[in-house]
Amino acid sequence: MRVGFGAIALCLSASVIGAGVRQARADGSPELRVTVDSVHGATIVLAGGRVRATSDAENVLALYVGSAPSRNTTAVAGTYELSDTAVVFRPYFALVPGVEYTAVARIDAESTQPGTLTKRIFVPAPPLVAQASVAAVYPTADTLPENLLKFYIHFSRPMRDGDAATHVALLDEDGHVISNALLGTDTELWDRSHRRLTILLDPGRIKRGLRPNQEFGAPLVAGRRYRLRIDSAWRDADGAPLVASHEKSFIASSAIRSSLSIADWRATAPTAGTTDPIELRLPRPIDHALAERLVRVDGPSGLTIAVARRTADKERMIRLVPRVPWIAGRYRVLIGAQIEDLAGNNLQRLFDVDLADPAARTRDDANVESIRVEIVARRNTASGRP
Amino acid sequence: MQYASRLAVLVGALALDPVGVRGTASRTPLPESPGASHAWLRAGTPDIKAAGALTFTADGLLLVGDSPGSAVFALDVRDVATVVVDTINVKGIDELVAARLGTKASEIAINDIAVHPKSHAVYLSVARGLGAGARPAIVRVGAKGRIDVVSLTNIPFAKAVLPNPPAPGKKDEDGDDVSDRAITGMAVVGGSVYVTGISNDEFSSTLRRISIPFTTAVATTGLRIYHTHHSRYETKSPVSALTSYSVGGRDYLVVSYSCTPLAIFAVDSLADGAKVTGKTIAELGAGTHATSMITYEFKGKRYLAVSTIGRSIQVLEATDLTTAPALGADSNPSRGHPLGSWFMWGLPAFSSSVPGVMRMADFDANNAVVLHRTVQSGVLYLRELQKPILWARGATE
Repeated sequence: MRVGFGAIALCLSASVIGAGVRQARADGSPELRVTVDSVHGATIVLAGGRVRATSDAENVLALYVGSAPSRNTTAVAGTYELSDTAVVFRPYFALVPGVEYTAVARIDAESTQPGTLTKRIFVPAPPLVAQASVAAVYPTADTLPENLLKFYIHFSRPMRDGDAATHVALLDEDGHVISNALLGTDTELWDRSHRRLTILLDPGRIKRGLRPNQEFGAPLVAGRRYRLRIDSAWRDADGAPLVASHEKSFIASSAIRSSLSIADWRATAPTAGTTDPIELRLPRPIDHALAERLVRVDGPSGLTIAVARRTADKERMIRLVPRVPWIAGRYRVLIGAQIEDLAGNNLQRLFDVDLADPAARTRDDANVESIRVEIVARRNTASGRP
Repeated sequence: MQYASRLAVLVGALALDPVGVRGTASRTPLPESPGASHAWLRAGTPDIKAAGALTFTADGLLLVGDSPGSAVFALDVRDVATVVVDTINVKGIDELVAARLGTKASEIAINDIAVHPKSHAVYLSVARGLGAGARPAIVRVGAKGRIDVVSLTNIPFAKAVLPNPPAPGKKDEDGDDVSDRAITGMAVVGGSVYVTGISNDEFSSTLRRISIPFTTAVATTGLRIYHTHHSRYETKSPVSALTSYSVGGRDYLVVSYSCTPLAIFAVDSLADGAKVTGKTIAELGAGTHATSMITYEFKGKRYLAVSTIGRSIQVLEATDLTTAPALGADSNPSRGHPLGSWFMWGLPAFSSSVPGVMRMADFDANNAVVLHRTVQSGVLYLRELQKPILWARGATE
């Protein structure tokens, strides 16, 4: 892609210096050429003059952000290649569409006709079209414990970094923002695709014994209604706003302060020869992200079976769908002990361990717990004993 | 016909980049690595996805935490500057860095700062772009505030991949068992770098240890750390900042949790896979958390300085952090106090007079360097604070 030419013309007479000058204009005047490739990598060439060494190439050829750089303007960093006939500059980073740049060649003051060549460079930005939307907010239930620890917001497209704090808020039933309910983290907790953001409720307001909890209580109070609001000005990775704002309404219920255990998880076995899921039915909702990461299936041979892991029924069910049909035999569903319920209790310990309570369960010994599932031909057989 | 201008275009020896310039190696030989200790690095282009937490080893290797890449990179930045940077005071650092990176200040994020142990140049980890096409950048701020971009092409480097937390069974074919952890702190102690992070699903603390040099089979330690505080509840919590501390020939890690104890762990107590309970020596108090910490000696006293979200730097003074009284179930002075956990508890501490500090690193014997946004003008500075980190060095607004 050739970018428009806007150089100040310099009328310079020429003399023969060597073979490399063929690319230069016939009158031998120095020329500033700019090319921008399809991914906006720029190459800026000053050619047609004789090139000699000085101490700082930036004083000869430089690229600047903006339309009117001065000598004091900070130049864009990049690489220089030098020959007897040309200076070639390539910025380290691609040009940003919608940003104006100016390339400047300063012809040395000691020469007979000093001067400056400039060239404006502009890559038009494509129009912003709102395409991204909130695909889901987890937990999906409309009743959530007052000691809820996390929300997950899933977007349909990758999102921009650094904007979350201004675009997501927890509102009370009168529509007022509950201040300091959500934890401001230094780094936003995106997944790798930048489509899922984790929002923590301020644990200082959830943990018992801390002054914010004692004076303000948990951010959520059982029996009250709330909305998590995601406003449409939140930008996606291309800079476009969301198609629409999104709200998740819910009622807070009493806190979950009992241990999480798989003892009461019930497994339903599919029939051999099918790709129906193994279904785990749970008495309390589970953190969907951890369920999708920490649940595995080992097959009759002891090898791990590739399964898709999805939560259903407001995260009270985990479905394990094989890629290929099940064969009959004994399987084991393995559950990582770090799996958490909605209040951050995992299989090893409660979110808040009350040291004064001798019955408080902490188990740091077992990292994995398991449920046996027998898959047979024809009829479904369930066994859910951990 | 062959022509040339009478005009001579003067260009030449490039002093643009402290680590050499791509494509000009034949003309501008790269400086030799200082010392043979970095021979375990291999030249190439590190596949850093994002440049986050930064720290240097004592011999000048830059360690870069890459959260989305779940890795730590060791880079030989070949900083062979003969002039030691004696002062840093750059007004509008974000504007200048953005200009150098060819974009606007609103389109970059400066994630962390670290000071080269020999040249005292300040290195910045930067996100160049915040959406699609975001790229990592390492920027060097040297004498007279000169800003250079460290070329990540053909640079001696090594990469240590942080293992995922233990998951049952084997990895699926599609490998979708990753827990993304934002790296919140790195500290080099006793030949290893310790790395803390905050997970985007699991609410806990895990400490990883990577020995230096990195080996092909990266040795890391999964370590669960707990703090006992809040009078009677033992809680798990993500770590928001990490630093090292040494006294009497013994090395320690100082760990700051999101809510909000400061705890200390002896490095030699950290065994692989162990559950270790640190000693809580202070509470930052509700409504804040640490973003960076440094320990230093100044005029015969020892300090731990903590930059925070929401407050100015908190400076704790201790003859010896390791002998500081533990804040425990029965020894937490906040218990029953009218201010309770609103307040900072533990060691004697003072607040610096410079609010708005986002990141801090040790600069030299008398100063720390900070990235801070002034309350008065909102301008972002990279500048020094005089130890014991009460006020700024040089002209202020």
